[in-house]
Amino acid sequence: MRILLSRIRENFLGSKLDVILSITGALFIYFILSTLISFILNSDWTLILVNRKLMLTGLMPEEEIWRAWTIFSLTTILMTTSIAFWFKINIKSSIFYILLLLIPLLIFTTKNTLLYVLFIMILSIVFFYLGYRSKNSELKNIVSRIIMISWIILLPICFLILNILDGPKMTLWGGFMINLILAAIAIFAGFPLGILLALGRASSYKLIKLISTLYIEVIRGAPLVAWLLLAWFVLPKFLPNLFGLSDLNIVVRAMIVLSLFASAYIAEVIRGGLQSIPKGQEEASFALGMNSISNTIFIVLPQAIRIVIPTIVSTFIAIFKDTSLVFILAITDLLRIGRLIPEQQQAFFGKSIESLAVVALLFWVVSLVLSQISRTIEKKLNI
Amino acid sequence: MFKFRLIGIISLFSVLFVLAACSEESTSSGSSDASSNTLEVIKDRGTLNCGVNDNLTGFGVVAPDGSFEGFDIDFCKAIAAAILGDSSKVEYTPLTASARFEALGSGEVDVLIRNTTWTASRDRDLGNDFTAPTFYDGQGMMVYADSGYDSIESMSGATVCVLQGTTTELNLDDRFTGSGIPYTPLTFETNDPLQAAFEAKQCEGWTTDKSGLASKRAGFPAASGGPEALVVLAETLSKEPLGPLTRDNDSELYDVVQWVVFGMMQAEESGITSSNVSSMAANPADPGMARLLGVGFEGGEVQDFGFGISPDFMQNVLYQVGNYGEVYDRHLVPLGLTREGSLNAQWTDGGLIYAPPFR
Repeated sequence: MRILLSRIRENFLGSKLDVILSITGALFIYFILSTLISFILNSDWTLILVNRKLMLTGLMPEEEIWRAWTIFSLTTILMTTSIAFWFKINIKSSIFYILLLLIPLLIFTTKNTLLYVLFIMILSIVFFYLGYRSKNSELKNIVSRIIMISWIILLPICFLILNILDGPKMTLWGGFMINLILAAIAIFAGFPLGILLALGRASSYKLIKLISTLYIEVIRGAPLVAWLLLAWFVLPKFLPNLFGLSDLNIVVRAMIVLSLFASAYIAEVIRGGLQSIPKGQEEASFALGMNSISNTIFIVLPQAIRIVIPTIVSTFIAIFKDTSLVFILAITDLLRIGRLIPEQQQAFFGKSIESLAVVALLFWVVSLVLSQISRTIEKKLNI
Repeated sequence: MFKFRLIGIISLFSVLFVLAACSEESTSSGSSDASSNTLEVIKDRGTLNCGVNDNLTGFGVVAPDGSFEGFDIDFCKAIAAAILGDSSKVEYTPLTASARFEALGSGEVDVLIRNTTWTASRDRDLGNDFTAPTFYDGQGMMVYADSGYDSIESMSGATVCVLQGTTTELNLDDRFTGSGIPYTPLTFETNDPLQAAFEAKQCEGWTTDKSGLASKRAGFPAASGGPEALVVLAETLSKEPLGPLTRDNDSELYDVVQWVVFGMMQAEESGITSSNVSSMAANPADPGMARLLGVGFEGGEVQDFGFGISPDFMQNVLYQVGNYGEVYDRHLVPLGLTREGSLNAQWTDGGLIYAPPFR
């Protein structure tokens, strides 16, 4: 207790300036919190309670929801296991994660799904504990390899789960699910493409350099909304009518545009990393007899990517939030749902603040988890 | 370096030329695709692509289970029932007000039923064909009852909340500036923030279609005074006939859409509902009813109007969706939009709902 008091005195009441700052800060926090709490208590949340399914999975029919649940449980278990195996997060930050993720779980768990959620949570905790406690290093190597492979095949598996046994049409995918899927696709496809573009722009072959530069500048030069609209109305006219290319599904078109858009931004971030590697390293690797390809793969790229991890993650977060722009393509993503449910019936009129607050909360939680993971990686890599 | 730039510019232009050539080629093929018989395309595909609204109460909203429902949605269902025999075979594309005509023109949707006002420029310049209106609306003005405004003329200097990019905004300007009444428009992209602003009394007037005003008024929260706190002024600022539209030169589908709408109106006039359509079809009361339902009268021949769909299409429509009055009662009456005395009453009751004869 005495230590606590002295800490408070040290940190908050050290000097006159500290006292003033602390009091202003405390008043500010009190004001924000009291407004927030009175908003939460005084609002009618039926709008959200009724539309939980809509917010998470959009127009997907009720009987297909198990697909979303399967994907959710697979991802959760894989995530907890890999966090435990790779990062050894301490109990304190694990509790923080759990509390953070509990917010959406509390909002979106219904009576029907309670058992399911509990089951997933118990499984995740078991896997987390197993990973946390495992000492056998040979077993650990095998498991961590399995995890690595699982991450790589996770996305194809998700698509398989969404499509097997006569799955719903892609245009019916929606809600928060479509935001997460689009962001995952854009990141997984955009990252390798971005690396190639960055290397291309730094290349000494003039034509490759020109094409990469042109691509990056053209894609970055127009807003994402413009590209999405082009993909919707103009792309079908450009594409040859082979393999059904000209009537590509609207969701696939959104995925392509988002990936291309993401790659241009990621390329510029990685180029920054490439330029920060001193020339001497390249010379040294040549002196060791490496050719330029192995120099790039083993010397330059690993260092460059390590340096730009914080910027890359903030690009990822930006891409994740950009996925909410797909509503103009008639894809009912989370933000679109948030804006249309107040119009559902007269009782909900004028409640867009409530629905948008929940939308913001969901985006915030995922972004926060992403940035926490990046911080953990940074710590692990000693950046 | 300079030489290199030149090569870059030349190659860029050549790429653009190739793309332009390609686009020209495929536009022509694309438009021939679009102008080809959409009705046959729908039959081959087995689903109807319907462009709709997803956030207009009563006309088109997304229900909590993810299905679409509303007045406009029921006409999509009716067209699917007529062409494919199953009202559930519709794929809905929710469209924003600004993207709707491009979506129809580019072939993303077959038919657009999204509370779209029939105007000359939309009919001609944008390459659309409007069928008979399904709902006659008009722009109105809603004010607080205690504000003292009783007409547009009295609203000098008022701030008016309006949705941007709609005909509503233009009509508002026509009415006020045209009569030399000073006013300040306050524009919003969607209805809900507009309502928040109105509740916060950032604007004195709220203008949109009268149907929208009536439903917004009926649902006005009690905390802000409830429906009694608001008055919709008697004046109608504009005519807003809302109805389905198809692409120009797409007569086969256009005719089907047109006559499904007329059929639903005629069925109401003849007293055929979803509950009695089966018995009426088995035993039609008069030759006109028999022609509407596509059955022979007293053992006579079935008259096929040659729409390219089953002659008894109206039976499917009425059985699965209902007649015009049923659709109206299902979606718009709960919002407080009564039909009596309005333009949307049957012509026999003094309204504009009038179907040409099925003959």
